[in-house]
Amino acid sequence: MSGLLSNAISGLRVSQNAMRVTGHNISNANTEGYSRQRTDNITRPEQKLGSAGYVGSGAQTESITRIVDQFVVGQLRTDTTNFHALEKYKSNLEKIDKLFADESTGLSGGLKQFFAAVQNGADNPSSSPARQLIVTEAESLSNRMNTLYDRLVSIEDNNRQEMNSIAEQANGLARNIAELNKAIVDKTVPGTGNQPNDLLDRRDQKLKELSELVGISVVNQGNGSVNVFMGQGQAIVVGTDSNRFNITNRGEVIIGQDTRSYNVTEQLNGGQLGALVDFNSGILKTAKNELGRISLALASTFNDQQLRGLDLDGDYGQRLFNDINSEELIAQRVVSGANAAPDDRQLSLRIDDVNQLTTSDYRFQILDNSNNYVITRQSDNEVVQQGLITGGYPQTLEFDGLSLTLEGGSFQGGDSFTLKPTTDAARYIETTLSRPEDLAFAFPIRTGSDSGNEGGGLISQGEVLSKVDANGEVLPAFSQEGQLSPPLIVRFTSETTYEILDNSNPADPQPLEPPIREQIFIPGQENALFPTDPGETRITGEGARLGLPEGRNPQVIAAGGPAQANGYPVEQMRFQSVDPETGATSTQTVVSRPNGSAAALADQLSRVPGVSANAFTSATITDMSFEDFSSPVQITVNGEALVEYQSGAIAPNVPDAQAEPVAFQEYLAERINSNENLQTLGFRAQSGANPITGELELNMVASSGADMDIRLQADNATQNEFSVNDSTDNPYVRLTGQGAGNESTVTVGGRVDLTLADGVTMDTAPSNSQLFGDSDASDFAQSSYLGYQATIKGQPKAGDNFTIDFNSDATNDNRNALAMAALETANIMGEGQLGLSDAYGQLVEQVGTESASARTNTEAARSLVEQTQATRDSISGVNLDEEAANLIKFEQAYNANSRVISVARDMFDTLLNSI
Amino acid sequence: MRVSTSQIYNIADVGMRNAQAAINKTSEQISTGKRVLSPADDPVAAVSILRLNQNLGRLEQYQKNVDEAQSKLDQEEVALDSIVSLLQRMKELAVNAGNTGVMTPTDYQSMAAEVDSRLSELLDLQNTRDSAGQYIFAGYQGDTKPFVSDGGGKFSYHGDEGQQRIQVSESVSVAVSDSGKDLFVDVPSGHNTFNTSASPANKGVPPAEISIGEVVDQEAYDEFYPRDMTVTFNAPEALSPPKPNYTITDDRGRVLMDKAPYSQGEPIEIKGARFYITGQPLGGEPAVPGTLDFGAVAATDFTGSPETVTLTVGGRSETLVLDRPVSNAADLAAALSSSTETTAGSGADRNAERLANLGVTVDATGLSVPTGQNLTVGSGTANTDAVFGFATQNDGSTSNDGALAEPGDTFQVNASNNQGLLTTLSRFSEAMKNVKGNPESKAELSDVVGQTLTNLENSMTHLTAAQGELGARQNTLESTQELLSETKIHNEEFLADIESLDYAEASTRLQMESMVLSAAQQAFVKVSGLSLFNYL
Repeated sequence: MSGLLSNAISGLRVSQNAMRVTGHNISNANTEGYSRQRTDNITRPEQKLGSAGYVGSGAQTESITRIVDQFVVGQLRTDTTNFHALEKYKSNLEKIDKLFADESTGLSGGLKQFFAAVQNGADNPSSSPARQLIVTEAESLSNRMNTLYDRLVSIEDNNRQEMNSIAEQANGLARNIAELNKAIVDKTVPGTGNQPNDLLDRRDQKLKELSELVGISVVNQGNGSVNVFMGQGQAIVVGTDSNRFNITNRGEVIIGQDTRSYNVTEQLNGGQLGALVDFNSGILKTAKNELGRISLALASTFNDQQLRGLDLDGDYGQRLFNDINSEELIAQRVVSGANAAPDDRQLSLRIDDVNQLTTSDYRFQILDNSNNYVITRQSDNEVVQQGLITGGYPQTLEFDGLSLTLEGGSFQGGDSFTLKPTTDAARYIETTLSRPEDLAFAFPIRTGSDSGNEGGGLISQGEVLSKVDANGEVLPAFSQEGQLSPPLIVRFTSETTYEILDNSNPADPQPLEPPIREQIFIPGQENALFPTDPGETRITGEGARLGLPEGRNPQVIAAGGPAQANGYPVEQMRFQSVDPETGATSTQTVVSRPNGSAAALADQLSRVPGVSANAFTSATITDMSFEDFSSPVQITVNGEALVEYQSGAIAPNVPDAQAEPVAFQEYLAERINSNENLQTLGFRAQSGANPITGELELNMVASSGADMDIRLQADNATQNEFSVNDSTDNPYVRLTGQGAGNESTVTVGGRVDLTLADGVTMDTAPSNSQLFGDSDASDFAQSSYLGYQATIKGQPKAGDNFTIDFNSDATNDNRNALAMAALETANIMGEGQLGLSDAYGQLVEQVGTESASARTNTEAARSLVEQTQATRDSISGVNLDEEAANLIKFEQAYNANSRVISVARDMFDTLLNSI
Repeated sequence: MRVSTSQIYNIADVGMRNAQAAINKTSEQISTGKRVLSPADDPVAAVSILRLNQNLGRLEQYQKNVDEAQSKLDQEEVALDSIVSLLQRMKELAVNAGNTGVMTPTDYQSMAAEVDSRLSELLDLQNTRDSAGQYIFAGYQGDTKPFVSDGGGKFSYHGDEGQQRIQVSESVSVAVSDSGKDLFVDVPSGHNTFNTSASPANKGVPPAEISIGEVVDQEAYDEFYPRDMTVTFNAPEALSPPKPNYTITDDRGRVLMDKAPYSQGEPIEIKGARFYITGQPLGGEPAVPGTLDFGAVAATDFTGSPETVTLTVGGRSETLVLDRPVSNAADLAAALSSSTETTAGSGADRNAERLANLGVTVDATGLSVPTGQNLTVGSGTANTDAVFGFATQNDGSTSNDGALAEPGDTFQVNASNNQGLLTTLSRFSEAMKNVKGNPESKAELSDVVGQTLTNLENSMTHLTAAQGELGARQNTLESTQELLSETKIHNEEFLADIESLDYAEASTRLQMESMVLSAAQQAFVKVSGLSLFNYL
């Protein structure tokens, strides 16, 4: 009976426990992270009942366990990490994608309005309001860039602050977890290993909260405690110890205690912290850099265009925006790493070509214990430049449209610097021009044609290519305000040749330095007058042995004999060229032939890549004196007899040289000009007079550079002679009659002018060349780049003139304004692939695409986390109906056990009553 | 599957939250009328929208540019129309003037008066300004009055050949101005003629002027054509007694008229051209002869053993022979300028000629080059050293006092086959004013009238061509305008397609989303009411 009672009591106790657990479940139905618990009941040890065997002695509660699937809990943590990372990333992206796309805050509206204003200005170049509008729109555009930059930076700053508070949160959680570890170990019931369920739940909850912040892995230690790791095994919690997160000023995430700490910025594996780091160093940085690149491209190209132009006051233009390479800015683009003391390195980063600019940052490193440096483009980890630090400062390294100058300091192995060409550019852009009159709408040059021109030649309006030379120095042409230095005149010397002269004094144009002479004009097509290559140089053929130098004497030979040699020596011309792409140097040597004509030499030299040679020959016949102008008088040029004969006597149409010298000279000129063989050699002749002495002259030019073989055959009994000269200051040579059958002859050699492309240089052996002059002289090769261009087309005639002047008072000239307006759609970025709005569109698209995919991924992660949560809840969550049923169940059991007690009492009573 | 109680609430919560978010977005779409609210909604469309908006902005600007261009061309057209009708009247007048038989000088005077008044009207028209006050025919120099009367019936053009263009579409820019030079100055002339001008470098104060000039002998001028002439004023000292004088050269350096005395306003006639210069032109600096004076002459007899020296002037060399006794400087001068041989075969007889070749004069003082070039005496011997009294061997001695003449004021007479409109009328008026009663004078006038008629005809042809060109540009503008509007409509449609909301679809969607939300709410209420505890 006592067995029955004690059985019932044990049943009562079990039911009570079960009801208590159920009640606990019900009361914690809404407790976050709570797992439902249940009692595990077992039978009490049976008692031996004699031979009958054993009789049960009731039930007891063995343990109270929580219903948990550890795998699901782990999965939930992973999903949570993922979801919170994406959601944080998405919400950040949403802050900028609308900002960029919105007409009123983004750049596209600003660009549109600015260029519309420029177009408007171009329509009415003299209109002050139209000019004012451009200045205003430029200000609002640069302000808009500043504002966008500020917004990006404030998002970045906010994120950094948020990272700090997240780190604090994570530190609190880590401490909590460590404490819970301790409590759980302490409270684990010795012997049974029964653990404190609610503490386990609480720890799981803390772990889940931590996984929202950063990706973690949890390792069970077996004694009830867990270790928490992150990234590549950096510990957050080990047993009862926890580590701390720290955020540095530069946004790096550090974990650990004071001495042992690790930079885990790159290893956060998601969570809110990871998302913030990714955002700041990823798309936000790209956005800042792209914005910077656009502002640099705009400022640089627009400024260049302004500098090329002429403003309303007739002054050369100034920059509209601030100089992108100011002293201040070039120093700001370099950030020093943690380099060895002393902190004295000075570097500057110039932007040479915005077209080549990328949106990447660069790392400049001097390798440990060496003088070797490496520059790495960080976007693709490509090495863009490497070499030796020479130790001589300044040293300039060029790559990707940038030039890095080491100004000085103790550069040494192990140094590292971050180069940020674009990052802060949008912050610094500023409209510096304020007077509307200073907008340079006009070009500094204008072209004109002489009213007296006979031919149908047309000169283009001209354009300015650059105001500065390859080294950034202002070109001589634009060196003085209010004038072109010098103004030029293009004179056609024939229908197919022209020369360009300094027209400072229109009454007496002078040769340029270096001269532009005997240029070939191709009728009917567009002929560019000037070089377009800023590095082009010209070498003018002015060696001592050219033409008809001092010491050359006429020769007497039998009529029709071989021509006198021109006396040109054998010399070496060595060309060195540097490939602008690869920097490789190549050398080529040309050896001139003995007595070779200028034409042949030009032909040889023109075969050298990057070299073009222009040959021509000139000669003058003067001081004619013919006492006996009759047979056998003959003047021969390159084998062509000029004086016509008719049946053994001079033809009647030939003017008498003595009596009608002018007519005779004109006759000779006409004979030369109409001779087909001479035409083939490019001969032309003109009769004129010496400007000083008034002496009649017959001037001949052969544009091919062929030698001029000039001969006289005449009677020697009387005085029949003329002088020949090479049309320079060289002495005259006198050809005199030597009797019938003999010829007095002299050969005039030609000259070769060379044009060398950028990077090509020439020297000669011997260095003092008889053909080109002293190749050691500093002005041997002279820059031929003028910085502007004009073309002539059509059919000009000899004597036609065209002028290129300073464009004074050009209030109605809008050529430069049109060029500025064209920048709106010009592909000035990304190696000629991108325009300003294209680049901006690309940025918007990138942000939009990332935002869209973040949105989709967030939704996917959300449903994943919800599903896992649902799985967890369906396993561990409290179902009140279930608990209600349990409650009834356990109540009934309780009641039944009570009933058993009552039966036992009845039995007892019956027993007592029966006594 | 087991469902925990919190799940029941969660599911309802998520469902309602999603439904609400959807409704929120749809209603935002409806209120803005835009399908794409942020680039994330449709990144590709967002960029297209950006680009289309940019294009539309540009198209609108181009449309404004077209209007601007149109108004500029209209203004030019009006001016050209007025000029053409003015020329029409002038043509009638010229035809009238051709009746030399009946017209009297008085008639011509009054006709000239009308031409003059039309001339100033024409001048005004050629100096038309636009609304911004810019001269429309001045090329780039909009603030500079392009056509200015220089007096003497001469007009000069002060503008340039610049042509303003306006961008009216991505690839088309239209010229919206024509330079006055192209329209009114470079008009093909019926006959070869010339333009006169004073060099801007002239220094005479007040500046001397050259008249418009005329061709008086067409045949002679045609023969000379297309050469230009330069009238250069020399130093007065070039004449004796000193008097202002000038030299006319052609553009090849040949002297056409040397050191002609200048008298103000007197016609200069040369090669069929006639013009006159007024004012006080500044003369130049005379040449300073290069001189080598003889030193102490040591008497030497070269008879029988001639010796030579070489004289060089400006690269020209001549060898002079001494073949006679020289006892003093006068002898030496005589020997150097001799035209006879003392020693047979020495060649000394050509000394005079050789000196002349070099332009060297000699007297008892020494050698001199009047052109101002310097001379060198060299290649001599010890004997010639002794005779000349200075070093003559090898490179010898060179004078250093020579200076070339500095030219004074210059005037250009440039051949041209063009004649400006103003010049044509001015020459016409001039001819009528100068006509006398005699038949020769009338015949001369008759020539001028003929030329005037041809030139007026040419001008009208030239201007008609310009008007045609204007019309062509206006056509370009019109077709561009059409293209722009079409492109704009097309772009707008495209923009609407990708950016705008389909309201029917959106309101249906909103309807559905509201339904979903209310269903979720109802379901929640139903489910949440179900609890076993209700029955306990």
